[in-house]
Amino acid sequence: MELTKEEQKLIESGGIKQKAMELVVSLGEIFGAKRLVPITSAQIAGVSYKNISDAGLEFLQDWSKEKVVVPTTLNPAGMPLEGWKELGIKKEFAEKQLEIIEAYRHMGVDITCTCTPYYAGNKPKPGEHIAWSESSSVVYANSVLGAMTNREGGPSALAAALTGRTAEYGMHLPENRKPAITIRVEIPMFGYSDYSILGYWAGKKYGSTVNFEFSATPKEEYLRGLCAGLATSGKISMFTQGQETKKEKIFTEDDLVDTYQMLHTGEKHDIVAIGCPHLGFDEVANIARTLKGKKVNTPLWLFASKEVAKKAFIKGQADIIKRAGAKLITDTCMVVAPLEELGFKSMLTNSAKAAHYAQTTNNMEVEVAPTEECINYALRPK
Amino acid sequence: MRYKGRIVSKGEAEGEALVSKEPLSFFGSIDLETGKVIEKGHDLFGKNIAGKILVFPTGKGSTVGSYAIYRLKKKGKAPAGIINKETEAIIATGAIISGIPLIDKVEGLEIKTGDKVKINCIEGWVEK
Repeated sequence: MELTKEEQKLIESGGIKQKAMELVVSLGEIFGAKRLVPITSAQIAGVSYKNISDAGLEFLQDWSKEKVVVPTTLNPAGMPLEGWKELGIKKEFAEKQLEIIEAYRHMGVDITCTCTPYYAGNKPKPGEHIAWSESSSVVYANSVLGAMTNREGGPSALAAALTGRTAEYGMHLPENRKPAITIRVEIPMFGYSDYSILGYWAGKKYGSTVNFEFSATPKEEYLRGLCAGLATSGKISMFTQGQETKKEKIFTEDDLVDTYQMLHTGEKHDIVAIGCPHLGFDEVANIARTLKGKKVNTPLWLFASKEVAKKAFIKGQADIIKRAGAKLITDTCMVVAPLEELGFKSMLTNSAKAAHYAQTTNNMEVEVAPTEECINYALRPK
Repeated sequence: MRYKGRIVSKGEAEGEALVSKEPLSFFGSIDLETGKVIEKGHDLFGKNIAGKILVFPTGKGSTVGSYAIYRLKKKGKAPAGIINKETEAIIATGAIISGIPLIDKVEGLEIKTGDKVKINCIEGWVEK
């Protein structure tokens, strides 16, 4: 691989920056990159103590001597950074989690723990090279924002943040961003969960960029659900809309229903969780409108970035949600928090991604349903 | 005899080979305190990887595997070196951040458990 003078200097610098540069270069060589490209933003996975354990913590503490050189945010942590006691998180877990956050803070990382960095001030422009690792945000960045990123691992996104570079392969090259097949969606699509399920179905079936033809233009928030679904069941990093392909496949009513069925293992739920990926402000406002003056009878947990929650606090929605007995939770989510340890056994959600991981990493029963049905379930008397 | 390969993680190592025919995950399949393989049904089950030249086709499983390799190294229970058929990002990342020499795509090399092996990941060869 060809390195610039500056890059050569970093790789001979000794210490952590050298290690970081070696990692960026070696991964590039494995994937056949010819050179490195400068990045404008990084987003790092590997934050929840539940996922990275003591092994990850030790690594981060060792690397925390150095500073990141581009704006960098984090994936959700294993708990809200404030108010974790109220959720029943154990002290031992919380202490380790806060040590992880401290290590990142020391590196100059912006302590914004979210899977929707684009709702929280980390929003790259079209054509920019970035190094993001949260899988749904990778698809969103490539497909909706028009930025360019591979699905980075935790350490490689951190190495990119420390060096300001990533290797030019995969989604950084225009030829890999072209779709091979069009998925035609002509059946009525009623909301967030339908798009989330569509993504989950397509991600299972196809391995590279797909093109969607929708008969009705989906709202931006539905695309977020689509991105998360695509990234959960397979390795797709991007979709397009309105491009021509030789092959075509029709998404049928049966495909939709069968996929809902695949993620349906429970009937009686002890938690309703919404916000995978983290909610945008409009959705929080919409849910608050439904909850106004009512009381939930099943725990209803809503997840958002702290930026979105702050806006909801100032504008009054956070208060309405609180009065209804629901929780607006920041910095974490139902995928990376230790829900099983907190005693929950069955989850109702509007997200295929949340259902998938609740089954596999938290051992829970699950069901996916439209957002309104989820809210109504929580409000229904037991 | 020397066999040429592709350098993934720099360094030099020497030791006894421990050979597996199956993909390996360092997270969940290896006891991070002792270096013992604990994945039931794996062909290395019960063996200890500490200080060995670990030979296996490629990595598998969770990305936390990279951190697991780092932890083993700090505890002194990591392999001295790794030879892969064709490596992937998780193992490569773990080896690089831990300073464990890793070489792959070594042409013509056949190794069995117990062989004395030398890895040179400065020049890019394995000696048997």
